[in-house]
Amino acid sequence: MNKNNKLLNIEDLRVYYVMSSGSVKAVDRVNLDIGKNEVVALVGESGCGKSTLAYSILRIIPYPGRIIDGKIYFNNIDITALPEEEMRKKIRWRNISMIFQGAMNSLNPVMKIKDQLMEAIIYHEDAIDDVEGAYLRAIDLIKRVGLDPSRVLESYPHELSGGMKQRVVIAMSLLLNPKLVIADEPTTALDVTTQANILELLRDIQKEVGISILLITHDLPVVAEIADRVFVMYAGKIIEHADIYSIFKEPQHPYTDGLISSVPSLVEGKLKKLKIMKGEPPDLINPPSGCRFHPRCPYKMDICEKEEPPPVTIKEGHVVNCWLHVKR
Amino acid sequence: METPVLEVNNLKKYFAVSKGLLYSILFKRVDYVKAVDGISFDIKEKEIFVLAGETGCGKTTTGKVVLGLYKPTDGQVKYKGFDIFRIRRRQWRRIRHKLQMIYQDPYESLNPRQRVFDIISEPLRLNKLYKSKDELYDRVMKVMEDVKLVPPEDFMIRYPHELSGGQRQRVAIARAIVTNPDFIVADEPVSMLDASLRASILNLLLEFREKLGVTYLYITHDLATARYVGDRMAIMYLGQIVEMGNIDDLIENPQHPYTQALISSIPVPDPEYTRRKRRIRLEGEPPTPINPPSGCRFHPRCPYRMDICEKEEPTYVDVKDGHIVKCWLHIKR
Ligand SMILES: Nc1ncnc2c1ncn2[C@@H]1O[C@H](COP(=O)(O)OP(=O)(O)OP(=O)(O)O)[C@@H](O)[C@H]1O
Ligand SMILES: Nc1ncnc2c1ncn2[C@@H]1O[C@H](COP(=O)(O)OP(=O)(O)OP(=O)(O)O)[C@@H](O)[C@H]1O
Ligand code: SF4
Ligand SMILES: [Mg+2]
Ligand SMILES: [Mg+2]
Repeated sequence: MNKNNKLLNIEDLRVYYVMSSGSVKAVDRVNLDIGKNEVVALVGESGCGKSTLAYSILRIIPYPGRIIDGKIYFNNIDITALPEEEMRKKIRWRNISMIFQGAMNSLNPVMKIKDQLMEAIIYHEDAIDDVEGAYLRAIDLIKRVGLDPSRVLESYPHELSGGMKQRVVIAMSLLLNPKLVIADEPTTALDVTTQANILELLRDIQKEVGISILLITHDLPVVAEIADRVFVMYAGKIIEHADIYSIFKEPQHPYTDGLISSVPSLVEGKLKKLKIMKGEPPDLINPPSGCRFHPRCPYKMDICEKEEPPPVTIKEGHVVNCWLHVKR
Repeated sequence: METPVLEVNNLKKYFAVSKGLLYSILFKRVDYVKAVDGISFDIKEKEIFVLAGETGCGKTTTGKVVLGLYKPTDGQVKYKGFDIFRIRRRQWRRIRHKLQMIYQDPYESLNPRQRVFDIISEPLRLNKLYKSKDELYDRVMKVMEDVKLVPPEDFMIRYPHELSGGQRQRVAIARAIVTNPDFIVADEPVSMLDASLRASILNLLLEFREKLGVTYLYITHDLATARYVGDRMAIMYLGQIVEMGNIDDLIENPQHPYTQALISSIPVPDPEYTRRKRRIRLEGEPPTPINPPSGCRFHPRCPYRMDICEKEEPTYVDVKDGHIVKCWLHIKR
């Protein structure tokens, strides 16, 4: 099957957390693709399903979550159908790796960075089982993320700054030269100067070795900084996607528009009153009918709560799901 | 003059670094992380005082000492005139629930074995601040709605690992505000929330100030939201305050080279602008607080560094109505 040469192709994916009180429909018929060498951002409200989507790509969805249906093609192979054994040996970490949300605080506090890295290297690399080889590889990795191995390798996590820990975590994600790195909120815990350095690092690595990045964040300025394309998620669904310039300049979905205009800005001198989207975050056990955004949408029409809007192509590569754009 | 809610005088907090017994015997010394190294500030009633600065500069440590969670190495913290490290235990126990902390990392701070209801209601239960089971339930429901964990019935019975990052953060906020505290240390309280939710939580914090007279120490590295909520701000670098003043003034006329760099690297949500603009790039990682640089601690990364900067530590200079800065560029010699 020809999948337009994309590195990753997600088709009609549904992932639910099945609980006695009902199913949390965290990912509900999502389509998303990532090209080779591309940085794709996934943005959306807290709790809309971003991390869940990431977990499904690695097939590590926590209980009681599971893939209900849909396909995930990686290099044209449907990985939802792969046996776990093969997933572990061939895909996870080797081809697709992840920087987890909050990961820099999950480094083992009583182990030196050196030992944590070497343990991971020896565990994964069949080729390297000697300590010396692993050590050289650890030095290499630490250098690659712009740190000084002589200082960092012998340190415990609490002896490093947040920015340094985050770089170590990035180093770990690069361990096996993956083709796709999923970075879940890699910069939220960092101050702006460190954030800028980390983003630059990610971009350099991306250019140097030609990896693709799926950047998950709620932080639109970060997206503006680094992404090529953006997917906007709302209540388990992708509601708009486009290239970086169009999404910021001509957002088409009222939610995207609201998201962009509610970012506080320092540049405009006098600070504008923060715009707030009215209403509550949607309930994913009983999501709103029709367009899931309708209870909060300022432009809501009758049809919006009755039927789900189909995707409409605004221009090449810019697609929106909203009744305002459907010619009727 | 009215007493400030919080007075911090020359506060220091050092942590011993464990390098193993052998190291200590061989080198006959213990290294210290000088996480907070001599800071002073006041917070007035109903004020929102922002503490900002890069990772590892000592913000969280300051917040924890201020609430009595760590004992300071040196210096003093006064809450409404009482020295909190000298006050009698009984008395401290009586007022302690009036001071709350919203912890920075909800991946670490929430008990994984408790359900959301138990986590949020715990401060009420521990301090016996409710009269009936119904009241307890209603109060938890109410704060959950305030922080938009809705419908509360769905979230109440979950464990932390069954929540998204931002939902955990809102549990941490709910837990801190459920007792109606007078003073809150809010440590990066909205870092995991999207812009819209963030705005409603910030407005909630502002509303508490108006209605209940809450005072805040607001810790963040996000200067845009800081400016939205804050009245005054202090910029920390390697355990010290390098600049402090009215927040608008500080952001519009930053005086310290570090503050200037910080402000110039704030990302803006405009891809064309951000890919064109030039930043003041800071060289290197922040140095370690174990052996902070001599003189001005910022000198190794400062674009305006002069000879004196690495030799002597600059003092504070008042540049305008209480806007103070610690930098040799502002000292007349
Ligand atoms: N183990 C679980 N059991 C039940 N529901 C879950 C579980 N894990 C997550 N959820 C729910 O699934 C939804 C999606 O969660 P997810 O972590 O994917 O959100 P997110 O978009 O990453 O949010 P954030 O930006 O806050 O991290 C949330 O509403 C969350 O409450
Ligand atoms: N319990 C501890 N033992 C030893 N060192 C510590 C301890 N807690 C903090 N530190 C060190 O003290 C310094 C200040 O840490 P702190 O957590 O206060 O920084 P922060 O400004 O809150 O940073 P961030 O923005 O990353 O949260 C850091 O170098 C840190 O490694
Ligand atoms: S005192 Fe000197 S080194 Fe420090 S910030 Fe000012 S100019 Fe730079
Ligand atoms: Mg998440
Ligand atoms: Mg902190």
